[in-house]
Amino acid sequence: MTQSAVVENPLLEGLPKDRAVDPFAMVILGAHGDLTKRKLLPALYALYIDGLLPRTFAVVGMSRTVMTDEQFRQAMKESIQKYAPDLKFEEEAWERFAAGLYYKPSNFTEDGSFDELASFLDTLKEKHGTGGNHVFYLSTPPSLYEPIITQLSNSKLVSKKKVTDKPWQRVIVEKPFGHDLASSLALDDHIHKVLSENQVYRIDHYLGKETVQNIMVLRFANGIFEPLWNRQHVDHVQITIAETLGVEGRGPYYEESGCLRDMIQNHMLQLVSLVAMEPPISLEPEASRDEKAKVLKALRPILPEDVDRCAVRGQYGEGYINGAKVPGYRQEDRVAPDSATETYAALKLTIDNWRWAGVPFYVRSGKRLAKSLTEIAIHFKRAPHSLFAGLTGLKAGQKMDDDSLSPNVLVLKIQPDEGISLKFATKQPGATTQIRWLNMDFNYGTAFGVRSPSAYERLIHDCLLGDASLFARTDSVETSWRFIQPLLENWDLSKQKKGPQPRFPNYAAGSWGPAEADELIGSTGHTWRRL
Amino acid sequence: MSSSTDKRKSTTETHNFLSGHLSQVDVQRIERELKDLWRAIDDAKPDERTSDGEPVKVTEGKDADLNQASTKPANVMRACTANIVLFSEDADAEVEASAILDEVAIRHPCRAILAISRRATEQRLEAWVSARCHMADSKSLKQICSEQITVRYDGEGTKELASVVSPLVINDLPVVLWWRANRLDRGYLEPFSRFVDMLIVDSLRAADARGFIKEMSGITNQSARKPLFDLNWGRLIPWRRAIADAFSDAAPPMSLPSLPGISKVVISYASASASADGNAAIPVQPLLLLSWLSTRLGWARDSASFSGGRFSAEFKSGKKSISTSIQPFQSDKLSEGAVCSVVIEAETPCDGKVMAERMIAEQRPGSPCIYVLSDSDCRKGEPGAEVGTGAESLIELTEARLIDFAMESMPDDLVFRQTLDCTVKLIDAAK
Repeated sequence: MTQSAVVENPLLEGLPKDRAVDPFAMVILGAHGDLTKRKLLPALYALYIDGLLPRTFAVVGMSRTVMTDEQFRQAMKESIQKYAPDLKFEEEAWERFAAGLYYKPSNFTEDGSFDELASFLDTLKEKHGTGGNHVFYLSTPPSLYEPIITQLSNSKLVSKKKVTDKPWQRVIVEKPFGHDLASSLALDDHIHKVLSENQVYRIDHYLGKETVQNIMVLRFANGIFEPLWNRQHVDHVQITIAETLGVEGRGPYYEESGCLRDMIQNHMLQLVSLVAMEPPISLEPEASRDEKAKVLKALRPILPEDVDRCAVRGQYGEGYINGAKVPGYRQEDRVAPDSATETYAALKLTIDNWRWAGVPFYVRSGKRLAKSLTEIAIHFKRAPHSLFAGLTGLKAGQKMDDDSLSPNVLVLKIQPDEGISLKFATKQPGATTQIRWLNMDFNYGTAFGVRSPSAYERLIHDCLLGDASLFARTDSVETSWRFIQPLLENWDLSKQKKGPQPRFPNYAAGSWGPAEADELIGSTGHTWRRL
Repeated sequence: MSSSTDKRKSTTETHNFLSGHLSQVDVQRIERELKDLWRAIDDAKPDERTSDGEPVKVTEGKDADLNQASTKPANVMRACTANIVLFSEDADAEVEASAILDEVAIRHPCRAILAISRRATEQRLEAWVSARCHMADSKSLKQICSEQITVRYDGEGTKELASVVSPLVINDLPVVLWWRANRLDRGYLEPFSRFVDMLIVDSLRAADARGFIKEMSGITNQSARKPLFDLNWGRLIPWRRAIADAFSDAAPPMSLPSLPGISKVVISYASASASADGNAAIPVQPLLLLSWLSTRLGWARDSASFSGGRFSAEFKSGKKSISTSIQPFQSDKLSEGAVCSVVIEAETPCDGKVMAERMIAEQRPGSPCIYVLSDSDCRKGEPGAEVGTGAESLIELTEARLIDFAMESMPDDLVFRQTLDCTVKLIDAAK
């Protein structure tokens, strides 16, 4: 029988096309951290009880903390029960799952520290039938990325592979992918000395959320939206990523990072690219990644002299959140009392391509805002003729420049309640011709009535399948850093006390950000959505 | 009988409705009664208004308060993504079906219409409505509710029943007809088939296997056919997967080159006794499995016979003969007629010689899995060496899970149609 016939097993025809995960061993580096407890192990366990993991697999936790396998299993069991209450926890299923959990204390930067891991993975190949397929999850501080990748290479645990090579070796890298353009390029260079791009999975958990994935379905599976999704019909786009939380004990990290690096460079620009991308030619991973990268490349660069015209930064002072008084950023633990780090950023983006010419994209993100919420709002142009103007109190010929005839707004709600909402006009019931504006809401949680998998479940599963669609590609990462670099340089001068100092704090905790952000969006006659 | 329209529904009525109690309603006013019940529920919680019969929630508010209005807490949400019409001739169908629909409705919130037909000389139509609710999550305490309408018809035929059901389906949402009856009759089905998008049947329930299979084949070969999903065919998915995987190159014991070498197939099915009497019905599930194998591998039937619960058929593949048989296996732990083991023997070229290989896929008593083993003279180099592989899980294949699968995929399955055609020919040949 020929090679091609080997691929075409006639008995497989018509069977449901399960995307089956190969047997594997996952090594979580930094397994004693919060991410492992809160997200990674609950995600793996959820995949296991949903039958999405293969019959044979193993998970090895590694960190500096000394622990036995049994202590690790117990800690993970408690984490799952604590942080994933929506999962059906059954002792019997847990026991089967936990039989594949191991722990190896290790100092990642010591030479030879991974040799022992290599021999342990060989043991697991025999004991658990992992097939020699390995995924290394870098859940460590970014400063350890380079040394870990070096050690993995030195111990022959990873080397450059083609996408079809088996057994496979994959590395998942958590954000941030660098601190600025130069460090991002340096990290990528280092990674690519050891690994091929197809082996690198840069995780941005926003891309694993159901509604984010639904953006493509909404746009490209429905005939009614895409014809309107352009400069002819869209007036402007607003994207908001708002948090009520402060820095939550991560002061030192946030002092280095700030909102621009923490949210805008990655999550926000990924959302922009999904909303603005052209239809991909297929569902192959590279097809959608190509289109997303094109959007980022089409972002009009912000010149140093335009920074103040296109971007606003803010820092929260003390205020009230949910009825409780909260301190200002400069009063947070391990934050400099004269810190110039931004906890809020708002940008006006311009996409220089045929589809979006002249359509501003306003994006904002901040900590200690009035509400925790992420949404994308597509504001359509108003009706071209004011047929109902008289009904709204306008005189004939009066310009419709107030809200009395609002535009249609399509809102893609990403969190906390994932769903879609469309604002449209309707007639007030009764003997009147008054117009009322309504929201037609679709809510994921209630429409389907089932638990939506967490972003980490989806992303880990995709990585195990070798599907990188929802992971950031090297060129996208580089382009997004390149785009915000002028802003970083400008704002970092203040942080280093080399430039003009911003008048921080400039917004109260519990508000919707600094007044300058209203002026930014007001420059084109728009206002931020009241959320 | 329920109250009139000019009277508001009482709290007790709405509570009973949401609790799943059947409320009898006038057949002519089913839709109106449902509207009144939902309106009463909406009025009882002014924070939230639901749409009227639509699969979306509409929240109303002033322009500036749009989002505040849409985020107010709510306890009861209506949801509907499909219509499921369940046809049964069993008076107790509500009880059995209700438990299954409870499970299905979690993944597919739907309007369930139970159409119960009972043969009687005197015609009578009755209807009841109830809601099916489940908690969306423990945090919000929201209940997701969908509706159930039960229509019971005493009389002959299905035209009257279908005429009641037809206007009850919600526009623009898919209509799935779950034919939960022991007989399949296109004449009976026809009044329903005008407005349904997919038909679900279960040949494991067939009182007359020959007739049932022929009707299925007839339906799938109609020019204006609609997707038909046989739950019994669905139950074979793990068996088909296990056999296919056993022959895929990546997964031992056998490999793809073994397929042309298959010389013998023995399929055992669960039976109350190992030696069925002469009047035993043809077991549908193993017959479908054998037909599937023969169509996929391009075997031509040579002869077939059926006697005493045992079915035998000879096939040709080129010059090679394949001997196949289906035989009962005494088991009280598996469903009557369900496949419990498959043995496939092959003669495979190996190192210049022809070696014997044997694959056994079996469901062991009490186990929810299919286990696959092989005897291979070639692989291990020593005769009789046993190679075990993993197990294919059967545990999830409840009736609800199979319906769930059918509703998700709405399969128009060419492999199934080909298998059915082959099964019909095998049955005819075995007469």
